[in-house]
Amino acid sequence: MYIRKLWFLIAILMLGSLSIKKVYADNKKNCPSVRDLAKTLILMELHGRRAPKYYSCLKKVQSKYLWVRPEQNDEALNVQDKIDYWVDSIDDLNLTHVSKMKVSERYKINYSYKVNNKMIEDDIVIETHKGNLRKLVGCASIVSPPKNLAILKNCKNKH
Amino acid sequence: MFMGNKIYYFVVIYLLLVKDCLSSQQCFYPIPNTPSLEKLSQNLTSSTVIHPKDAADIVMNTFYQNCEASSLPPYNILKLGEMRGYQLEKHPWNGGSVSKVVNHKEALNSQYYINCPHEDRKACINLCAQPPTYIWGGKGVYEKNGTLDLFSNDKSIQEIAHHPGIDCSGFINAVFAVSGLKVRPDMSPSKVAFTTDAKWFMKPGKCFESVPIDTPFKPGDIISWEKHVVMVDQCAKDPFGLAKLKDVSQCTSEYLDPLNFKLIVSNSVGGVNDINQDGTFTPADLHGGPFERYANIPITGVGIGVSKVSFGQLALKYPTEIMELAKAACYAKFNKPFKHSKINVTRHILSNKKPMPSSSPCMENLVEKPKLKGLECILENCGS
Repeated sequence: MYIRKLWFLIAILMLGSLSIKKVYADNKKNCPSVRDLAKTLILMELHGRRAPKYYSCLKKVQSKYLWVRPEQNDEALNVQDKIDYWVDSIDDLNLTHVSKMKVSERYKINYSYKVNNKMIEDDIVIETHKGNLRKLVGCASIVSPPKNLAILKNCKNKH
Repeated sequence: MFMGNKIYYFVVIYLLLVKDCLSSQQCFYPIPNTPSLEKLSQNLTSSTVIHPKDAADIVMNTFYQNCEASSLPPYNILKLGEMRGYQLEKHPWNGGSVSKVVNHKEALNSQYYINCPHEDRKACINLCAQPPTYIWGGKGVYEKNGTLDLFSNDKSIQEIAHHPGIDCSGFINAVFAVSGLKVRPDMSPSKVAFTTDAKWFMKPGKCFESVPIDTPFKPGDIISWEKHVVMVDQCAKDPFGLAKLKDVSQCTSEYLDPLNFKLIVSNSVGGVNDINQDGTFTPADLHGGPFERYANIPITGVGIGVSKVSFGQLALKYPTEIMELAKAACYAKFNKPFKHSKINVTRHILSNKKPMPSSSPCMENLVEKPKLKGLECILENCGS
């Protein structure tokens, strides 16, 4: 009788742990390379992460970028009205240099893009994540946003 | 049979003690016995300074009209999610999102600190009719007669939100006002509330000193960053789990697990996802990682409001800042330099002072200390 009760309790315990596993069930175990993560985060920038006026443009692409969590609460969100550059196309995005910083898991990414056939250079600092932090917020986050607020030209008419 | 009997009791004990303990996060370390609210409140009405941690408990209990609110297990964001039954509306001029109740039943059901269906105590404010939550720009009302009313807000906010709510710096400033400690020596508590935001607390000032990252945090300490400010409620000796680490190469998120941080903070926390320009929250608003996408909990963007939470769980919203503090502590342990520029810990210079000076620029004129509206009712009902 006790054994039967015991099995019942173990079953309850297992069901409980299953519900926790379900939360993390779709967590990607493998993350893309630092370069790919950086490119993803920069693309979210170019689709209007820091410009609420263009969120409709961002919403169209963000489901592709499940494995990153751009910081939504950074100070850069305060400068959301002044667009510095309208970027010609994502095809012209070029990651020129990826350097590991002194702080663990932080990388500075130098990149360039074309605006009216002129190359503009900028940089972004990202942080990669492992363990439970990855389960919570994905593979990487933005630590410091780009200096310029640049949006893709084809987002211009999508708000 | 006898063996099965033993195992059965073992499992039952496990279920009763360990499982509940884990789910409520109390097994990290026991919640200390805090002085009764009544005893604390005697200090509140007399001309003495109250320790900021105790003041935070008083503010919390009063805000929820519940004398047990501050001693409940920490709010588990990963289990309970955010408040439901509210909708966000853009404030006409301050740029923030203000919540309003759109589904009263849902809003009541999502409350953690008030228990309306079983509430039989009288309270000054009927919170079941107007369930509270986080409100961006909510500071309470500092009345001319010296009363601090945390159930009301500026008219422009109240036109949208007909319920009480306070934001993160509003909560911390109210706590210091109640404690009798000045945040800024040259300002009244009322002026402080409307001019002192979260990031202000990052820098030490006349009344605050920096807390070195390699020294223990104490209850009442302030942890602040650009967009949020919290007060330390409880802190274990090794809050970031550094004891097991062997060298600085392990100062990474692989070894620093935010879900195992042993640090509980008091705060008023806003929406996990605050990008919600169109007022309705859809999955498309979620930028987040796997947890936000797939967790079967409400991530509504409304926030939680006044609560005690595990500091590590705030990584769901602020991963960079939370991990930066843990990494800074880790680097300090191995005597390696680390400039933590995005988050800082500060302490009021008088918060642990004994004996307290009779007067100081960082202390209120205690005779004129704000009276907290609603405190008298819970004192009457709770007793000791």
